[in-house]
Amino acid sequence: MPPKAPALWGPRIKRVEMLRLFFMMFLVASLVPFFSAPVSALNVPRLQGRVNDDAHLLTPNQAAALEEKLRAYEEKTTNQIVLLTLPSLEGESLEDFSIRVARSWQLGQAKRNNGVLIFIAAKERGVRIEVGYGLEGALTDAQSSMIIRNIMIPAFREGDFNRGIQAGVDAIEAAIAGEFTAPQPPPARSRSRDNSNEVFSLGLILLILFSSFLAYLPLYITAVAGGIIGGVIGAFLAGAILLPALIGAFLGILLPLLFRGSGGGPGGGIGGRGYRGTGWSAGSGGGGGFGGGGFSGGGGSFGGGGASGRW
Amino acid sequence: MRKTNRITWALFFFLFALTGCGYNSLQAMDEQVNAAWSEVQNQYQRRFDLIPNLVETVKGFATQEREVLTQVVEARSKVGQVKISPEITKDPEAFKKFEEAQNQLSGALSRLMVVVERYPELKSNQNFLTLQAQLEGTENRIAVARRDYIQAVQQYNTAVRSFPTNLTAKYMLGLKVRENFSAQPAAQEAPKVKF
Repeated sequence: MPPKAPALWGPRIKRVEMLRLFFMMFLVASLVPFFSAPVSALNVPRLQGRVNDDAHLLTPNQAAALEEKLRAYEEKTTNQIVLLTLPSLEGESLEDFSIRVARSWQLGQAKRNNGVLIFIAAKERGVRIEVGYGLEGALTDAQSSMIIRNIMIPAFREGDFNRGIQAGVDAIEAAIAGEFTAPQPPPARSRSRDNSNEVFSLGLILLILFSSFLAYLPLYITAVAGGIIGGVIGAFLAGAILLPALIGAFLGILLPLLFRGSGGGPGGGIGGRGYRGTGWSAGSGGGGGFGGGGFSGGGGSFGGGGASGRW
Repeated sequence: MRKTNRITWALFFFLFALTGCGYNSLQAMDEQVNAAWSEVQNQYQRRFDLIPNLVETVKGFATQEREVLTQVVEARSKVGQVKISPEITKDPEAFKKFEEAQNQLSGALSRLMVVVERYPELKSNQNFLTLQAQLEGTENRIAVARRDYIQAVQQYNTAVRSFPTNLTAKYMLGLKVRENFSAQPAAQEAPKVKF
């Protein structure tokens, strides 16, 4: 049989070129939304911490005190309350912008959706309490409205923003209390979760190293061994991360086939994505995570609950 | 060795064919539209359930506003008559009926919320204030749910219509274009109070 090499899988260079082409296409495709996205009047500001006082309604001392208060509250209950003040809405509606901010900051824990955004637009004299899905039962629209109307707005009318905001936060905490104090997450438990996370990523790295090594063995051995390794790791980490384990097994079989001889590099990339897909670092991440810009939302969702008011 | 290469590529193409045809993403988008739709329905239902209490409360104070109150009650009963099947998002006629009935109710409610401003004792009634806050909150949730639905359907319809995913949608999954809300800024806004 004469060795006839069809053009498609002929020289190795070609394959690399093709991969490069695919990558470029992917890159271009992923950039398109950035250019075609509608230019909106007002951009969602960067989340700087629990107190984002862009309108400078509070003195630095007051802001720091509030920041500390909200941090302590979040540590105790996991509920994430964040304040945003803006000098102007620049023509956007209070409600539309508020939900955009809350959704883009993803306040609250991913599993509990327990975020609250207090949003104040200074020029428009508008206040909104945006309540995450998980707190809608505890902090109802009617309660939010009452807090705004009876507690915040009277103080705002007198120009005392610090008192209005502080009292508003107290009232929000009181409304949530009882109905939503999360079962104290013991630090030991979250530590062990982190550990399993590390074990898992270590396993994945080992798996990928192994697969690229296996790429030099005949195909059927590669496939069988990949499957076995994936299976073993799957069994080892059975339970919460079953899906990634399956992905691992799948990659174990597939990667050596796709990248035979081209090294383990691309494998690492794909493996990394599968691992991040589990997404439960977000669940524990929001818990204690403020330290010089390290603060972030935990992945909570919002559906428009809450209330607004004007003063 | 050549044979193994061939199997490699066959597998690669098989995988590519399966993902490239959009089978999975179409399924995901379909589910997303379903989820967005149930949220829309939930919020409209919430408003529907809120109205009897609201009408009762307003009736006690604003006796002269019989006409506006009747409009609200009638619009509500029309909404109640619209049958909602799970297939409504695929049926242009039923969908239009649903939307029209809901828009009518939105209109009647916002008129009611304007006329109640003339009754100071109503505005200081705690029960009414609670109901008003609930209605405003619900209108806002409806607006959010509608927006999410519009986005989900846009994405889904684009996929169902464009090549090559349209082939998968038509011949493999039997997915149809879904109905979307017409952009009606007036209906999307919560009732605004005018002085």
